[in-house]
Amino acid sequence: MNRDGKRPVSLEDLLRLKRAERPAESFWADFDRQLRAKQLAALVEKRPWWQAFSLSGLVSGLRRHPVPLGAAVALAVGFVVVRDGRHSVASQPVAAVAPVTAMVSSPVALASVVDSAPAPRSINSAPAAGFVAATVPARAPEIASEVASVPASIEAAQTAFVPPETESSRSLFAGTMPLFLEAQSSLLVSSADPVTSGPFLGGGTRVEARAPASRLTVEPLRQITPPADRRGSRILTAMVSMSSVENAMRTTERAASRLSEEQLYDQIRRVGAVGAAVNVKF
Amino acid sequence: MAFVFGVTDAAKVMGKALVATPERLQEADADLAIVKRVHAGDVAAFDQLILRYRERVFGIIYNLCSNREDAADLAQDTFIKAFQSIHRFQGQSSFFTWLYRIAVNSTFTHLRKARLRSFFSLERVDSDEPVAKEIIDVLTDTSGADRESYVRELQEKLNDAMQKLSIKHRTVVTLFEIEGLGHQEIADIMGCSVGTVRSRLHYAKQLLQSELQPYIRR
Repeated sequence: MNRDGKRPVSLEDLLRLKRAERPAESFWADFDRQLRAKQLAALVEKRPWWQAFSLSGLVSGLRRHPVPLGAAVALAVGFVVVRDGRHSVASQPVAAVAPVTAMVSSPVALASVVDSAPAPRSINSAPAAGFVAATVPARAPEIASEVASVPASIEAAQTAFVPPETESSRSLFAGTMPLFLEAQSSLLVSSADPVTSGPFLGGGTRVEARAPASRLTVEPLRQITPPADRRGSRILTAMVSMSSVENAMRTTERAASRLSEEQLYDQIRRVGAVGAAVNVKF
Repeated sequence: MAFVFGVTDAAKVMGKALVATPERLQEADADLAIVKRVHAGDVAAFDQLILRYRERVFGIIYNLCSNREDAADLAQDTFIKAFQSIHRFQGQSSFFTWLYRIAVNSTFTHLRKARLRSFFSLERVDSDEPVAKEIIDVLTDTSGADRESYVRELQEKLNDAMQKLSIKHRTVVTLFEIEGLGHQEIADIMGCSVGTVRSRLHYAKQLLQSELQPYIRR
């Protein structure tokens, strides 16, 4: 109590006065109504992903559905691996064939093996033998003599195996040729070049250096073009090439007159060609 | 989500966080039971939590921003945020600590955004409330219209002094002196140590004392 007979008033008392600042009852009715409306709006409104995302939710999701998620991940990884694998096999066919050479003991044997292979896949002896010749530099001294005697031995082999597809040859070699050898031999056939395919068995009647697939897909009549078409196409080609050359020259001159030497070099560096595509860096 | 609470779990949480009175313990247990129901899919049970805490949440926000419209909006937003993220509440703290934390953080964000355009919109002081009546009686010798204007002036001075504090100091004063929370509770809500809470409270009181000197009677 102070001199006036009244109790003292402290800072805490004044602050306690703020507790008495209360809204009226009608305020809470409005409050509830607005809150209800906001709740409904929040339910309808789509939340952004960064608010919906939580690490604990991700972990609990993984715990809840491990099998489907694992299967999805495995599928995705498998898809990527298979796709990349296809690209690499298509771009490097010769390198993939390397193990085949180690398994081939002599060209004659391979010729006989390939010759006795099933008809639809008919792999000829020429590419295979050619490939053996291509691997000669690795084992040059010992194989040189074999290579020298190849035509003779091939002729002998042809005469020996001319009786078509005997049962004995089938049964003898069918089981010894692994699947991957067949697949890689077919790859080799499709990518055969004249150097490796021609010289040894070129004269043989049953030997062909061309890939059988390409022969089957193109009809002979379609290979013949009528003279009128040929002439027309030649004229068209000449016109297009002339106009493109003229345009290109004009454009180049115009650009060169506008650009300084440094800018020109800069622009040239930005333009590049990869495969069938042209890249422009900005 | 694993969410298992026993009857004594609230006591453990409360015992760790603050001085547990029997009322607080009962309240915390009831909150946890309601939260469990909401987790189980009984969404309407959340209304009970709104009814229980709407005045306290509004009070905290109102005392922080001294604007009744902003306080109402922010209190509603607080309940919506709590409802949207109640699946993340795992019982590490009591429910009201978690709810107060949402309210305080929302208010912080709002005050930082609206720092330059803040203005008062005050509630009427309830003169019939016993504590308020006693203090007003001590401070005023008059009655009637003069008394009303005096109370209004005091209220404005109080809010003005509060707004001169920084947001963190204002929060500590609001939670301790007006809402009556303990130091540990405030530390949990604000994410700081008890020592920090004490020092902030001391500093804030010094500033308020100098601002409200004419109204303090020894």
